[in-house]
Amino acid sequence: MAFLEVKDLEVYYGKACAISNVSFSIDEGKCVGIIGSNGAGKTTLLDSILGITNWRGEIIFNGNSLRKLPPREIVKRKVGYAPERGSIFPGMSVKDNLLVGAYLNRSNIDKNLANVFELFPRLEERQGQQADTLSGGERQMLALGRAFMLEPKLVMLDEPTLGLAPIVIGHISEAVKSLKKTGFTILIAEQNASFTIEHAEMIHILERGAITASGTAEELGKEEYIREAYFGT
Amino acid sequence: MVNWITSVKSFRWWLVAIVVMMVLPFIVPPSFLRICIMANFMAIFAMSWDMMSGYTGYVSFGHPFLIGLAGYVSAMLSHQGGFQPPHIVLPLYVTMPLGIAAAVGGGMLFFLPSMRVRGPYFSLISLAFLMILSRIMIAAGAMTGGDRGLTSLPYLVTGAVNNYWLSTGIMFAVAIGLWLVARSDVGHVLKAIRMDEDVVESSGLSTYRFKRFAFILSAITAGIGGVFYTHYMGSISPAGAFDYIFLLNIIVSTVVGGMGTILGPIFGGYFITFFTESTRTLLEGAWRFMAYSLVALAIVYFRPGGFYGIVHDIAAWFRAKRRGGLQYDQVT
Repeated sequence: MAFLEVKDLEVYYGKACAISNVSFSIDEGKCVGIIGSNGAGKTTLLDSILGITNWRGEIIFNGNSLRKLPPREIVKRKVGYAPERGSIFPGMSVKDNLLVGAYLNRSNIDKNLANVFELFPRLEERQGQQADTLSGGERQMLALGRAFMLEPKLVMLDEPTLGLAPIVIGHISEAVKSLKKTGFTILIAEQNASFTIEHAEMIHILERGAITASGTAEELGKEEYIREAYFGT
Repeated sequence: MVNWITSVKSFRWWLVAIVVMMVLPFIVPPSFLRICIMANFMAIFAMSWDMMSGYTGYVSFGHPFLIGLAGYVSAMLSHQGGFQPPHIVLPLYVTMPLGIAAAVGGGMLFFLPSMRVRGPYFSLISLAFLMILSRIMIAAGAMTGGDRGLTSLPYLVTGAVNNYWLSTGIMFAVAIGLWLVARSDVGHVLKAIRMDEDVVESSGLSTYRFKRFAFILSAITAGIGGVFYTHYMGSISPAGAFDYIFLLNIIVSTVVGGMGTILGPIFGGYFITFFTESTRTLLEGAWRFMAYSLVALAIVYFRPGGFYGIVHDIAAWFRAKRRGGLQYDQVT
């Protein structure tokens, strides 16, 4: 059985359809990428898995339905979420930002802090610093780190490279590689196809709220339209 | 994050403040103490407003609703005239807790549902509730004394010195209690809600539960301030309890002191009270409030963190000097 299974997912904002008939699954320890342009429905899809939006269809995580569960219960089931644009709490220190993420999992705070600092040594150096003095890349690391404080089994990354310089994307990429090695199950929603291809074993193309193509990077690369629209070749 | 029971070291400034306040009655005249009493109450009201608006970012214009409701309930139940009928007159140790409970209950009934909307919408709804309560108190004249309010209420203690001890004790108890909450894990989440509520939600935390907690704490504090203030003054009226200048003083005290800090509103409460009192003979009526508004604007313009920010910066400067240079991690 898949670790995360999304079946016939539909999300409406009023009368507007944001997600239509989306189905995909992720096996444990694998990385899946959702590639789509602005407004394709990537964030709505991740928000739905986290229980922030009202949805129809079915989402099964680790053998249990997430239907009607509030975000608190879903996060308690070890779903970690790093929202887009390195969302942080600017007026708080780096360490306090991480500790807000640990509120629902306070049993292993020291161990989890050590793990995050091992993953992102820059955050350890900056732990007493106000978060709004961090660079864009460091903010993204902090947002990722906050998600890891919950010891998630599934990590959802919403546009982790958005607005970052190539060298910083390299740092984020290294972090994702090390997460994969550790055995995390990862769901990446990205516009940046090259970043997603590098990590995801399976990629889904999301357009106007619907999945229009699925496959490995190699398989999708054979489609001329996808190559031109997303891979830039 | 700091544990609930913080180290003795972090209490050292509280001890200094308590010692200074304990010495005051022996070296200043009763008239000065009476200003301190008013400043203590203003500090309590400002801390209460800070817990709700400064911490969660929900700017309330209806805070006197909570203060006035607590004061009125205790006043009506303890008033010699009592209800008309059946002439219920209860002792203060019964009416004051009931007043505080009324602030929490009334606030939860009216304010809490409004916290589902954000920004100016919440502020306007809270203002509307304040105006409605004010009108109700005027309309229900048989119980509330109408426009003139209730007078000749029983006092808890009499004399400037006794009231100074009482108000100072309450102010410190409230301040240390709220300060400990602010330093706890819950306090950090409340600050995070002010900065980005959506991100807090995405961490799986129900922001509504935290806001409700902050609101209840704020209402309890407002209620405590309201009942003690009412029985210090010995009277309550719509013009005093629901006046917009009173609301303005509470907000300005918090903003000038430093929002979201708990300690800042104490500085702010003392500043506003002493400023308005010391300029009473120099400036008349509206000019006095214009002067203090200008001073408040200047403070917020040049140092948005208020007095707390100024003190924080000075302390950081001394720490840096002791270490031999400003550290990067001290940038705020």
